[in-house]
Amino acid sequence: MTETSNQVPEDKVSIEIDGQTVLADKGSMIIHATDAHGINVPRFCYHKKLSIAANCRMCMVDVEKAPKPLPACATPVVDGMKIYTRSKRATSGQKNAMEFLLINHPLDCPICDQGGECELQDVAMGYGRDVSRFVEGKRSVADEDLGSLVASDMTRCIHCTRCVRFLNEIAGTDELGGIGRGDRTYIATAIGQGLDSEMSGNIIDLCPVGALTNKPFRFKARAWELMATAGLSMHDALGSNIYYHTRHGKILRAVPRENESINEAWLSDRDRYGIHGLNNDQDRVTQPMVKQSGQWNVITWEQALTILADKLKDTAAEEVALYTGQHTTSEEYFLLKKLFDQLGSDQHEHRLSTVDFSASFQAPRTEVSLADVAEQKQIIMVGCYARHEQPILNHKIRQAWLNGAEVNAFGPCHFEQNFDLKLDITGHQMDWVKKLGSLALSLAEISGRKPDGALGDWLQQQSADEDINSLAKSLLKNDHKTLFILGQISARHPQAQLIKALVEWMAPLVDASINQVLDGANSMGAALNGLYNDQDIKRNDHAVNLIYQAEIQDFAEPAKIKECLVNSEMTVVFNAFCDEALKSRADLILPIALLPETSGSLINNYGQRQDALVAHKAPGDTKPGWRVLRVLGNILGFDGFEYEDVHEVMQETEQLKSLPTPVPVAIKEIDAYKAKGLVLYAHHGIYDGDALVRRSRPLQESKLATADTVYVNPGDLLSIGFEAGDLVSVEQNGRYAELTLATDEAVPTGSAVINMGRLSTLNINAGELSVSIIGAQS
Amino acid sequence: MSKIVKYLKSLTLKEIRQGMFLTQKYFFKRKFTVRYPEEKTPKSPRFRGLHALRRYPNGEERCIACKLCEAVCPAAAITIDSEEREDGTRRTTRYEIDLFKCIYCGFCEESCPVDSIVETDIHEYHMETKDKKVITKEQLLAIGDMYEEQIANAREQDKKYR
Repeated sequence: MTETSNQVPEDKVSIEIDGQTVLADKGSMIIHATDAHGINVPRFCYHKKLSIAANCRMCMVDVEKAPKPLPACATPVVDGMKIYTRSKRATSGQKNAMEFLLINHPLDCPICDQGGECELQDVAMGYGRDVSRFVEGKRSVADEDLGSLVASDMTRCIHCTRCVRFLNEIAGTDELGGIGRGDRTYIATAIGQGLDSEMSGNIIDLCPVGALTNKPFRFKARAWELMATAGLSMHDALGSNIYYHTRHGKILRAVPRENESINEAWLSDRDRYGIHGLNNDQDRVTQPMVKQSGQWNVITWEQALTILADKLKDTAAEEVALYTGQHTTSEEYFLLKKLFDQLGSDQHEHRLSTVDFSASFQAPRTEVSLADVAEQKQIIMVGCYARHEQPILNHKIRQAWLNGAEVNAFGPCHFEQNFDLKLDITGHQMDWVKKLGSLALSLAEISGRKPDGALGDWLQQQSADEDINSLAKSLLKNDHKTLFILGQISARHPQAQLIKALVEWMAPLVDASINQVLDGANSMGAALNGLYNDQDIKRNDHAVNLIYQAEIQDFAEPAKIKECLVNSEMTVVFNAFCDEALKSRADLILPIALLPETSGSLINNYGQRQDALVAHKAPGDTKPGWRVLRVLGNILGFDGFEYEDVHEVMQETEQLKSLPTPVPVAIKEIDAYKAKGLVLYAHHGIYDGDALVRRSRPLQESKLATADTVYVNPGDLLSIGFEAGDLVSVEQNGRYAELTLATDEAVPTGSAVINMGRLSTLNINAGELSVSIIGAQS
Repeated sequence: MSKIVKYLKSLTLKEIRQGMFLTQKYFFKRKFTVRYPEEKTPKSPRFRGLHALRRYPNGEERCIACKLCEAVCPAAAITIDSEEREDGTRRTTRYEIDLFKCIYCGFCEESCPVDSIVETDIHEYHMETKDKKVITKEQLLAIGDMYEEQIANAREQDKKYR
């Protein structure tokens, strides 16, 4: 109360902008202050998330006592500074900069995709001359092919270098650069191989002109025709915020919706281009179908649900099993759980990518929020390739690394990272777990504490390693924020529980937190609704199998699930798509809408609940899943299925209590895994994760898409007896996958890496580690 | 008094004779009516009639699917879908005008950066079923091809005022 108006806090300075006195942070730039107070200063190169380049010269402002107009983005504020953004000197500086920018910019706005949402167009309306004084020839620049995601028209480039700075600073791939000098500068890749960053799509949003545009969206629509719907990404467990841009009920593109706590202003390519799978109607189902004497017949919804209800009534409850995908809305999970509770069956599972069911279900651990990952000083990635699992998480890890954090990794491959790893400890699937064990052993020896029971005995059998020992020492010595990230490679590992137990034992010892990387957009929601079983329900055959928004490719053990489906009396598929692999084993197909076509809520990896709205019109007779389940509940005569609106179900899911605090995994016994031949590492490619990305043509044509290949270490080639490029069969317990052999230095010796989630590897179970490479069968 | 005047007027057929006189006057004057459709009145080069899509002399369609006409159309009579053609150029896959919605204001022609969509001076056209009121890209291009000379001529005459 005693504070007077002219007292300025220590970290602030008082400045005057256009006669208005404002406080600005010490050391901040003029543009930060004008932006904070809603004063418009035109700019092209400045972006709040990127470093300052001050090369467009558009943001000229007039500062009192300065001899010339100064760029607002690169002039730090000084106490008592008087700034005029609309004075004659400022506007003439801005207008002159605009005239220079327009010298070489082509007048092709009518065919430019940026037209209508172009920063240059908008600013030229305010600051441009109506008639150009430039009569000489304009320059033109040859375009290069940047891949299937980003289209380039480099003649339009105004050299703001936002794309260059994004790829250097955020994506960390340094792929684009300014080549040449003066008016011959052009932006290009160094070797013309296109972009292969998993975040490359962001340069489209950053480009203030039409030089970099969205390739799959090219020439499809104008900005003013599009309607924006707030949605969520369903390809990873972060739920990145998205605006879906639709025209005539069809999603044409996705752009980021800013959310500082999740995706900031960015979007990974998977989230941006995944939606193109929706328009791929190759195996889209639009009508309920039933298989009658080997023939698929189209039936009505009434008939379909009656067939299903009759079968459910005739079958013993424990003979009904449910496998749900991990990107379904919480509302559908809620109704599925309600349905199964009233049926009396607990045979339901959402953890399709889990192999190790040796311990009972535990709530996932996420002890550090996404934003705080960037604040960590020591990060240990355990079986985690964050770059492909959750690209935005990887961005946070990279931020932490840029802030001076030390990053170490344990895993089955030397993955290509966009930051430096202090230690990249790899070995085949059995080996790297042992190396993680030797870290625990070193910690046990130094600290003098030992885990009890089976874990302690197992630890005794591990050998120490010098590098790992020094890591253990540094972990114990430091007192700053340490984080273990348990990735999806760990979750899919046949010894997942052992890995988790090791980390859970180590973390308290070094005062570290643990974050688990979850699969799918809503595993948290499925867990919260209780859609899991402590046993592996695939071990038993069931008479009726319900496959809810999942495909065989989504399972970590596709061969095993195929067997289950063959042995069942009836397989019912609830999904928007049904490919041949599933269709040949299904008996009833019910077309239900996928996430952008239905509304509902998702709970992300960090427990944040978010709602998504309908953005895309579902084709044909496709119905939202919650409605189908509601009617099925009515036909079965169950209680509490009288919902009229999805919001009523959403109110119910809001009431769900949070998951219990996880307790450490209790390891009873540890299998002494002995692998014969090569040790399998079943890799899930970035664009093989769910039904939509597998069908998204732009993603499948991009550089990160996987191939039907088996990778081995070049050193193993001799013992395998085949050459790289040969068509070989990968044999696993009498089942075969036909793949092309390739060598990669990143693969550890004795390991065979294959790409899961593809039709070619449906015979391979990720849980069985022994594979051998033999001659092609066909 | 007025009653008597009225009576006399009707008795002498004054008003009819006045009218017949006027008729007789125009009977011998120069005629303004034209015998449509054998005869037609001259039209301004700015006449706004049926639409057409034009081509360049090399046969390439002018339209680049910028959608400015669609945006400017006050009656929302134009519908355009666009795509990248095989040669990489921006082209329409659908260009339709609903002739019942159209108010023939000529904004589309004014907004066109490549003089592709034009309103010709054709005003005599009909359709036999209701669904024919929407004319397609093919029809519009055919009209353009057929009347190109006329269209170009009209634009040439109006050039100095544009």
